[in-house]
Amino acid sequence: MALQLEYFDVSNIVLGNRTSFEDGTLTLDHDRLREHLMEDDHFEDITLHVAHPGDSLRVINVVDVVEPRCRLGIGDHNYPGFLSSQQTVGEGRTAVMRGAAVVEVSKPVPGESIYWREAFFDMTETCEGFSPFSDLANLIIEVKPAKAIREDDRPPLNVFEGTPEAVSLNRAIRAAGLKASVFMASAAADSIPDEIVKFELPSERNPDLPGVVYLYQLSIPYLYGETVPGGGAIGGPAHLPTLIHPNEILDGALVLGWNAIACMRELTYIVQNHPIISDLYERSGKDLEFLGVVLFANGDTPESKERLTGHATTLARLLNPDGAVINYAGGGHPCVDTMMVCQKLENTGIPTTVLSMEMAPDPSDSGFVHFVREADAIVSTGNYEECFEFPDVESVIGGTALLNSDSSPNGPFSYPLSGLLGSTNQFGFTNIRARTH
Amino acid sequence: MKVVHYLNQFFAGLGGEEAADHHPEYREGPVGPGVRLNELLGGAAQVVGTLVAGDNYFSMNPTSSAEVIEELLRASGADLLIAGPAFNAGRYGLACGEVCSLAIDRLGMPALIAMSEDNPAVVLHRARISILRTSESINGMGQALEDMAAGTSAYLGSGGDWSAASSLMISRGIRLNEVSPTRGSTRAIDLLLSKIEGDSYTTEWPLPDYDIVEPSNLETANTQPVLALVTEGGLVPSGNPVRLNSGRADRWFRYPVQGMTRLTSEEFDIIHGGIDTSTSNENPNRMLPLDIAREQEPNGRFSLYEQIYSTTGNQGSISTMQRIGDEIAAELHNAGVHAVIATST
Repeated sequence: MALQLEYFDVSNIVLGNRTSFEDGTLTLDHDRLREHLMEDDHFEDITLHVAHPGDSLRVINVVDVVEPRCRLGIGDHNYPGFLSSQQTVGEGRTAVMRGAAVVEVSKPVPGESIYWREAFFDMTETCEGFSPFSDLANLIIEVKPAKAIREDDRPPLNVFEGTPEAVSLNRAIRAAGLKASVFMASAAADSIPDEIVKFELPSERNPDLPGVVYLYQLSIPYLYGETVPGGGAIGGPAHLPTLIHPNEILDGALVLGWNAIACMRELTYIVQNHPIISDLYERSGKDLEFLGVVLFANGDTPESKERLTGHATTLARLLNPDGAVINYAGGGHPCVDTMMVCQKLENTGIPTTVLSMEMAPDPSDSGFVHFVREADAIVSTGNYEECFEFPDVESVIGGTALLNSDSSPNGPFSYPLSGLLGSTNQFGFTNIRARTH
Repeated sequence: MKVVHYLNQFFAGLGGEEAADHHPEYREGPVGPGVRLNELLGGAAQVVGTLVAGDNYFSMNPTSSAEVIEELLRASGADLLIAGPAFNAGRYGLACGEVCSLAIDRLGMPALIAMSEDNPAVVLHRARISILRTSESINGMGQALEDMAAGTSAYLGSGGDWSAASSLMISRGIRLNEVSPTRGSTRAIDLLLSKIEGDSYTTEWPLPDYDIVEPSNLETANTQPVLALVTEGGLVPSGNPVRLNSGRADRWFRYPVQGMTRLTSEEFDIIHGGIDTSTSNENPNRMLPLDIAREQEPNGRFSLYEQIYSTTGNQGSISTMQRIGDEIAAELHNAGVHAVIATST
């Protein structure tokens, strides 16, 4: 099962009156795209903006980021379960507008928890190395939800998801981003790609190389358009762990499910470019053999944790790995499950490393609600408690106020890294790490 | 580079305990151990003056000390303050911390303290002030001065970065971000391959040592103990007048429940930000079981303490939660409470 990603390098996005792609400049037919996105009752209005590296600009109230992509095969579906009927992705050809991103922004609506919702990034150079989206050419979709959703005065039903109306709106916002993603990448369909990379698991295992499996702890995403239930604070039964082909993950099977803390939000763009999967592919056949991916969500009782982590471990063992990389999705319940998976794998003789963001005011306070002594090889993806100085910028897109700070969104202000979108990503997408001083 | 050196009364040769109230004074040039320090600095920096004060001065003059010290530091014209070595002398260490804090906060003057790792001032000041490790006692004076000079030279040579002398320094006890040459995913795979190969490997995040809390032995309690109800579930009176935080709580509160048979949803809310609160908001007794406790009370096996206690555990920092726990426990202890049911989310 081979996936061929055909990369088209984008350095500039222009909103114009016809769609074309030439010399790295992606020109979009503004009215047609806007009309296309507005075909949804959830929206009263949509405003399109562009943002480029070096702009004195801050984007706030971000929901999700998507990479512009479209499948190139005849009869191929894009983002099945979201934009089209079901079809397995991960095989065939897909166009990727490398260097570009679609950013969805929308202020939180009543019935939606704002506790998690603060999410911003700058286009200035200040965030270099800390913000994955500051050096991309971004199309920003600013959504004004329909009046009935904006002015809903009922209390939220649940701290994570909010009212069904808020959940439905958030799904529509993601769908708008995905539609824009396909619209943009379709512009390159007739061009010659700048690079072609083929992703394929080894058909025969090289016994001289260590086989590595990746245990991917999910943060309640949409998988082929359906919510993957996690136990934890949401309650209820969690999704059974499953083996999945890594190509499906790279090719649009997973879309952000809920608006977690910005620094560790499971953004669609990062999943499409999943760093652990990309790195394992890149090194496969050189210093390791990439064996596959096990998806797992956390349980919410001791019994379900035992069952789910046992099942995830067993699935991994089916691949007969020599080692496993595990990511921790963040939060209390997921931490317990991460540690249990780590322990179970280690106890069966499979060495592990765990990637984890830190919420540690000091080294004696790791932020882990649970840990096991077997977790002796943890990679830090950054301490999101550390405050970052955000400079003043000329303009702000996405609102007129921050959610958890009285400072002007134009800055300057000091804010923990938790608010900076994608900064301490749990898959190690950025180069940030924390160190004891 | 001009250095001002801080010493206490003892090392400045003024005397021991009898001189501990000595008011701050400034002397030109190095004094006592400062003479050797100045030699070891070897011209890279020069000790231009010495600030001397008695160990008790700061605790006895909490309001006036700041202005006096600020003025003397400013008058010294120095670019850098070096305090100590204070070894494990607690009052001296604390005074070094006070003087260095003033230098940093009021004058933007960089500062270094030299003392031993077990000096009580370390915990108070290490996050903000660079502290160089010395032995516990004065026997290590020679080595301490050599290290202070070496540390200062490394600091100067690196353009003002104490981490250039990190092997000599006490950990600041903070986790700071940096941009690594490779991304996290790559480092995780590198680490895994080292582990598989049996090579040495180092975790980027050492696991902490947490306290083991032994449950107390209830057998030894009275036949009818006083029982208190405590929660970290974010239980608040309706409208949250105490403004308890929904996450990262920094406070707790108590609420009288005399005459109350249960918590009603009209009178109480659950504002915890890390869980689904809908069921406990429908019935706050699901968070703190006052209803069942009241039902059981007539059985005579316990009597209920007439205050309930609440904070929010969501994303709480351990040090803050320890403080909150200590404060609530002290109150309960003083009130003669024997047992606690602490509900956790």
